[in-house]
Amino acid sequence: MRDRTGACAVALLAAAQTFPARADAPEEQGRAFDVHGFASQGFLWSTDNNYLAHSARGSFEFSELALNLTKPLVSDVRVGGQLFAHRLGPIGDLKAIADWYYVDWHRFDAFAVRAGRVKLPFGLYNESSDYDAGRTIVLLPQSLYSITSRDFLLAATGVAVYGNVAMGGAGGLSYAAVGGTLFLDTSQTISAPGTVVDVPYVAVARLAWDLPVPGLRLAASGLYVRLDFDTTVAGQPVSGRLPAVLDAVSLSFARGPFGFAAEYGRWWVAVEGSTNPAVFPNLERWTDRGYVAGVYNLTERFSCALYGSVFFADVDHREGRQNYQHDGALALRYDLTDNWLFKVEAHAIQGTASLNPALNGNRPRTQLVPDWGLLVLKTTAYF
Amino acid sequence: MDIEPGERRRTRRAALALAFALAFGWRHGSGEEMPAYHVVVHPENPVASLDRRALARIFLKNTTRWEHDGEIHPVDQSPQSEVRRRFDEEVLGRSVAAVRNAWQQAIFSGRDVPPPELGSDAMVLDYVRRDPQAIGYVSGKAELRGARAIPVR
Repeated sequence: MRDRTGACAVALLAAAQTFPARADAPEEQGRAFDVHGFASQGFLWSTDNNYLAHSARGSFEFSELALNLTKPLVSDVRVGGQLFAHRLGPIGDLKAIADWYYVDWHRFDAFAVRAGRVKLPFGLYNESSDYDAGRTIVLLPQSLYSITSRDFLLAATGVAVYGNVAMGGAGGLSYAAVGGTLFLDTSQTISAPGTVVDVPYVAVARLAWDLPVPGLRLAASGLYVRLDFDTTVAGQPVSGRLPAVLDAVSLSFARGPFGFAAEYGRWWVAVEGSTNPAVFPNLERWTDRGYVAGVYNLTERFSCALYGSVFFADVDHREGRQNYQHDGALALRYDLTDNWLFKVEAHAIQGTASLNPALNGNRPRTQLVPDWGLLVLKTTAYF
Repeated sequence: MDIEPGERRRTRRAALALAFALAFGWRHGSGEEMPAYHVVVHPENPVASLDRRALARIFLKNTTRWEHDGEIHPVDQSPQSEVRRRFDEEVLGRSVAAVRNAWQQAIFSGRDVPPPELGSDAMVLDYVRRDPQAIGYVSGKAELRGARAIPVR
C-alpha cells in the first residue's frame, strides 16, 4: 500500500515539472525546486534492558535518510514531497517510503488547504519529530513522542486545513486540522506476525496561541484514531477494534539563547468487539504522560538541553515497574559546520512500561531491570 | 574698510572650520546614531511603517500578504552576517541558530520553506528594487540606491 502511495508522490512531483515557476517573484526564477535532505547515524547503548534496538550490547541500528522537494506552481499553490528511510532496531529496514507529499493552496493567511499525505499537527513537535538537526536532544520525550509509534502517529493521507490570525495586542492564533486515514505496513511496525491493521479514519486538530509576550506559546491538541485489527495470540485468531483518543496541552517559551517547553497528555485507549476475549480481552485504559524541558544555546555552535519525562501506562495502577517509565536526560549538541552536527545524550530511566518484551528475550516487563541507563550518540549531515 | 588678502584667507579658513564644526558637532550633539539596519521595500510599495510584531510575522511567514494586496516576498541575509544577527535578535527575539532550527523543522515537516538568503546588502537592495512585493533589511551604513527604508515602530 505504501509503495502505491510512493508512486503517486513521484507522479505528483513529475507533474510539477509541467508548471512554470511564478514569474512575479524574482527568487522563484532561480529556484525551480527547493531541495533539502539529511542523513543521520546513531548509536544506542543501555546498561540493562534492550531499548528501541539491541542496545544492551551497543547498537548502530539507528539510521535515517530523507530527501524533500518543494516547488511553487501558480500563484498561491505549492507542491512538495519527502522520501524517508530509517532503521531503528527491528523497525524500518531502511526502505524508502513517501513520508509526506501534498498540494497546498495558501491564498489567505487565515485559511489554507493541503491535500495528500500530511504530517499530523499534534503537540509541539510531532510534525518535526523525525528531524534531528532541528533540536538539541536526540530522543524526544518518549512519553509523548514515541519513536516506535511513528508509523501510527506521524502522518495521514487526507486533507488538512490551517491558518493563522493576528490579534494585534493579544498576539496571534494559529490552527491546523487533518482528517484522513493511515496506510500501515504492519510487517515493519508490529512484532506479531500475520497481524493486519486497517485504519478507517484518523482526525487531529491543534490550536495555538502566541501570547503578546514574545516567544511564549500555548497550545492544545486532540487526536482520534481507530485501528481495526486481525491477529493471532497464543496461536488463536482474534479480531477487534482499538479506538484511541490522544490529547496534549503545551507550553513553550523561546527568548534569545534560552528555550523551555512543557507538555502533558492523558490518553484513552480501548479494545472493543474482541472476537476472542479469552486471549485478547476488551479493555479500557487511561494513561498519563508529560515532560518538562529546557535548552540553552551556549554559543552559536554549542547547545545543551535537559528534560524530565513521566509516563504511567495505567492511571489506575501506578505501582510496579511495568506500569511506569520515567526518564531524565541531558543532551549536548555541537555543530561542527553549518551542515554537520554531533550529539551525545545520557538518560537515567526508572521503570519498564515502554520496553518491548520481544527485544528482551520475551521476558515480561515485571522481570526487566527497573533502574537503568541509556547513552545515545548521533551525527547528522543536512542541507 | 577693506579686508587684507592674508586676512581673507584666514577668514575663509575660519568659516570653513566653523561650518565643519557645526555640521559634525550638531550631528553628534543631537545623539543621532547610525541604526543597526534599515528595513527596505520597493519605492512603489505604499506601506508607511511596520511595528516589530508585524515585521516578525512577515519574516516568519505568518503574514504572507500586504494590506494593499499582493503576496509578500521577504528576503533574509546570510546567517553569518552581523546585520542578520541583529535583525533576528531584535525583531524575531531569537538567535540566528534558533531561527535556523525553527525553519529546518518547518522544511522537514513540510509546513513551509524559509525566505531566500542573500549574501550582501547590495544583493538585497537589488532584489527589493526589482520586486514591488519584496521586503528585506540591510545594514545601517548601506546606501539604499533607490530602495525605500521604512520605519519600524
